[in-house]
Amino acid sequence: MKYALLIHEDHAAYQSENDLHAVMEQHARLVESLGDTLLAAEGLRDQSTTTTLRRDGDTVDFHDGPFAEAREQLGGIYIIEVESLDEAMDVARQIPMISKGAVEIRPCESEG
Amino acid sequence: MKAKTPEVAPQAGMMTSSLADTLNRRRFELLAALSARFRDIDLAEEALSEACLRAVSQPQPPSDWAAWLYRTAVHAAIDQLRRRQHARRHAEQEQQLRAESADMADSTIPDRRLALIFACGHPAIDATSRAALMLSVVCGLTAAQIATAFLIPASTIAQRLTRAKRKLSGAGIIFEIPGQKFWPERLNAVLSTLEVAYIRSTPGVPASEAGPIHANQIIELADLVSTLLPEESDAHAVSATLNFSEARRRAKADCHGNMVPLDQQAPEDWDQGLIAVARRKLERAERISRTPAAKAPTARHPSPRLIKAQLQRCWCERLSLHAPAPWEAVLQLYDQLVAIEDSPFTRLNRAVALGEVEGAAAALSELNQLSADRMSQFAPYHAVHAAMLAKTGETSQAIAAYDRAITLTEDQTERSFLEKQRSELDR
Repeated sequence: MKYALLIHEDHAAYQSENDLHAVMEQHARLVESLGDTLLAAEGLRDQSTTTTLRRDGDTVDFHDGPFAEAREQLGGIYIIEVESLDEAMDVARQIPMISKGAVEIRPCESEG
Repeated sequence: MKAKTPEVAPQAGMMTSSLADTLNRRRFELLAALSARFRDIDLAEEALSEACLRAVSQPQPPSDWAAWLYRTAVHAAIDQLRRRQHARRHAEQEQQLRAESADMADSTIPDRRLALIFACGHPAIDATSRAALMLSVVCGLTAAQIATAFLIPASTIAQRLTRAKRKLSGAGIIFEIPGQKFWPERLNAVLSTLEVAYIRSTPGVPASEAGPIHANQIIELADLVSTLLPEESDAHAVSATLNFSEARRRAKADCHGNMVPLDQQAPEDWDQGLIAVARRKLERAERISRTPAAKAPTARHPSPRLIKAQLQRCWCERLSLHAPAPWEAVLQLYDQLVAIEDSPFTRLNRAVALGEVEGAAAALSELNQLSADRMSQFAPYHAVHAAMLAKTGETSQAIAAYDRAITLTEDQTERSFLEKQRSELDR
């Protein structure tokens, strides 16, 4: 079964380049250890670089942001293929973070 | 072939009673086999109800109701899936079923009870929903019964059940007994679900279907889990703990409904039959945990659940109020427990035992080490604190602590117990 692991973190927690570098290195190690289990992994740039399309019927608008008030923001995604939710939870547990955060474990609609 | 007999009525009577009996004894087994087969509890429940409906209108009772219900429900489930337009994926299954149907006479129901118990107790489902699911699916309780026990509206429970079942079928929770890698976490989730369900139960055997959850339903379930997991020390330990606690339930309140603390309960009021059962379970748990082959590396130490069951046994070995209370043994066990599970609750219980063995002053200094922040909203902390302060003669502080405990206690019997303790200080 395929799962998207959506990583939400408070990016302000990354105080220095060193912090970021250390976590990125841990990601690299995890990516390597996952091997074929991993279908895709991306870190996302800061929320301030985001553009959002909003559709209401035929009307389309583009916005800056979302500048949600929440401190935690979506900062990266992993797409993995594993046997069960237990396995997906196990991968999620290994995702590095600088301090606090959350990983949303979302089953994908397509199978195989 | 049997000739048609004119005596339809008694035969029909026999048929329905044996159908009812089958459902009583084997509902969970049937539901487990169906749920595991289709990986969908909702579908399994619907299919089983459909099979029951068809059963009632059977002209002749089959030789084996359980097997008949299983086959009929499998057919009903496949029909349902076809209606949901997932027919292609299940076409193979149907062919397989057709092949199986050739020798229906000896078709056996696969035992998937444990798989379903593990699915319902999956740690990715929140603790309350897990307990609700277990009670609904495994014990066959209604949403209304579960709601009474959890003090939340039946509609909320129904909603939680729906959501949990949807998650079970859609999130990739497999209806299988978990492998070695996930075993400790998954087993722990199942056992803690049993503990939660027991705490919510009321005494005795169910009198009617509308009533609340009854302790013996949970105890039976714990027995089943330990029977299905004969080599799992903790499963036997939980079963032992529940039986010990149930044995003492009658003695927990006096004839006026007032709470009686453990060391003042008359052992003559305890149920020696349940204590004997509990003792056997605990001995089994201890035997397994001593076996070097026990699979988990943590099995080298006694587990917290084993120690908790041993604590219960300590008390239940007392034969009368004339015999000394086993505080020293209790303190020793709490020392062991604190070493492996250092929670504020465990420390609080240890402080009580310490107060009895070494005196209130020792208990107070132990209590002072607990984080006041974490304890400020915790009624038992203030109750224990008050009792120890009272013993050391700090009456006004003790009264203040009792007041705090009383404000925080919701349970009526516990509150009146505390009020009585407090009023004795006022004199």
